[in-house]
Amino acid sequence: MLFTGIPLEFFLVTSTLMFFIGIYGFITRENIITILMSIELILNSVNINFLAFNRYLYPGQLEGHFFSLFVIAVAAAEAAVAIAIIINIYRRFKSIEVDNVDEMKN
Amino acid sequence: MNFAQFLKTDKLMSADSLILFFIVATVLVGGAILFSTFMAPTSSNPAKFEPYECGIPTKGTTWLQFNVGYYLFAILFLVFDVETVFVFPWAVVMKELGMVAFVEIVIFFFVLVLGLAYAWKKKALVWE
Amino acid sequence: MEAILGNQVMFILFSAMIVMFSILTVTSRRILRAATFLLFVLLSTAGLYFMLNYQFLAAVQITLYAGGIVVLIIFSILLTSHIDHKFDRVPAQKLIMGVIAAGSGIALSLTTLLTYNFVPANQEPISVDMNTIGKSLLNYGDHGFVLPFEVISVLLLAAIVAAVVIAKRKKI
Repeated sequence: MLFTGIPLEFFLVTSTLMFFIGIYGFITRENIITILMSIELILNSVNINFLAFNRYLYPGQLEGHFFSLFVIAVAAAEAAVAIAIIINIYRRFKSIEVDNVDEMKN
Repeated sequence: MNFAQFLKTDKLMSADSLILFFIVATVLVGGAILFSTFMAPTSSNPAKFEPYECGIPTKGTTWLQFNVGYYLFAILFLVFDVETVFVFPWAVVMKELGMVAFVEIVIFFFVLVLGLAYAWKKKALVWE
Repeated sequence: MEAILGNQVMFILFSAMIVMFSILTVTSRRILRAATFLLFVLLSTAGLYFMLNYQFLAAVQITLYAGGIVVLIIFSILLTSHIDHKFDRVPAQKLIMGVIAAGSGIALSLTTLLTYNFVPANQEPISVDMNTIGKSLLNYGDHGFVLPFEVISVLLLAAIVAAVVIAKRKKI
């Protein structure tokens, strides 16, 4: 067993730090792509939580495992669509800073 | 445990071997870089920083923006990457589950092929 | 005993890499570097998955996240940004708000989870090999995941259509 000797709390502390670093980036960043990267950090920390809970608390089931798998797949589709939107915004406004993109129609 | 004993145990994925891997990788790469930094003779003159020894100097930056059309190929790659992830577990148990698994994967493929057909019909796969 | 120490060393290495590179991802002022640091975070996360003995998911993490999503993000950076561009420093007010939000969130979550007593369920651990994963994924009975499996394909269809519509528009 690779995970013997590591309490569950270790994983939770790591993912908590990662989650709130993502929140910090989400608040302070101006560029849409870096905001998207902060969201990826948040999604990843949640995945770590799912897997750690599944392994430590319910080792006989696979729900957390599959939830993470689908979260990753949805994150891929989400990134694809988000970047499509970013490219469209760039064409329209020649900029991807959120402060410049404040009108729906011009 | 000394190194000889360590090699005899067949714990392929144990943490000890991972640590050993990290140490060896760091020492090898870092050692090579340090060695060349100290041993190589250094000299510098302006001609060394020219991109070509002869010919005309380059104009402008080397950074140019890609055509948006390439983005489509990146996204198609990502979509079929996700597909691979889901098809692989199916392929492992296909023989055991038989017809049921086959029907499930046919539905899965059908929906994705619809997307590919749409891209094809819109001439999105033509390399311009 | 030695194995336990080794596990802990590896875990601390991975989580230190995660935290360090996460901070660099959200603070780096060059966007391409931020993307590279994000790649390192995702790879270290795959290391944690390996430590939890979820090998398939770690492989998925590497192929999809590190190999797919990061490539797409770097692609969009190349399309929309300039390599010499450096972000402005974060304004002090925004910085303080961000630090307060993140810091209070961390304090609240950590006090909650460190005082809570987690009780493991009394279950026999099952091995998560490819056979088990494949059977649960295609199972339509209890503890089966065939419906999300099929719905994912519809989601991917939507992503393809969105990409085609946006990329084929002639005007740039």
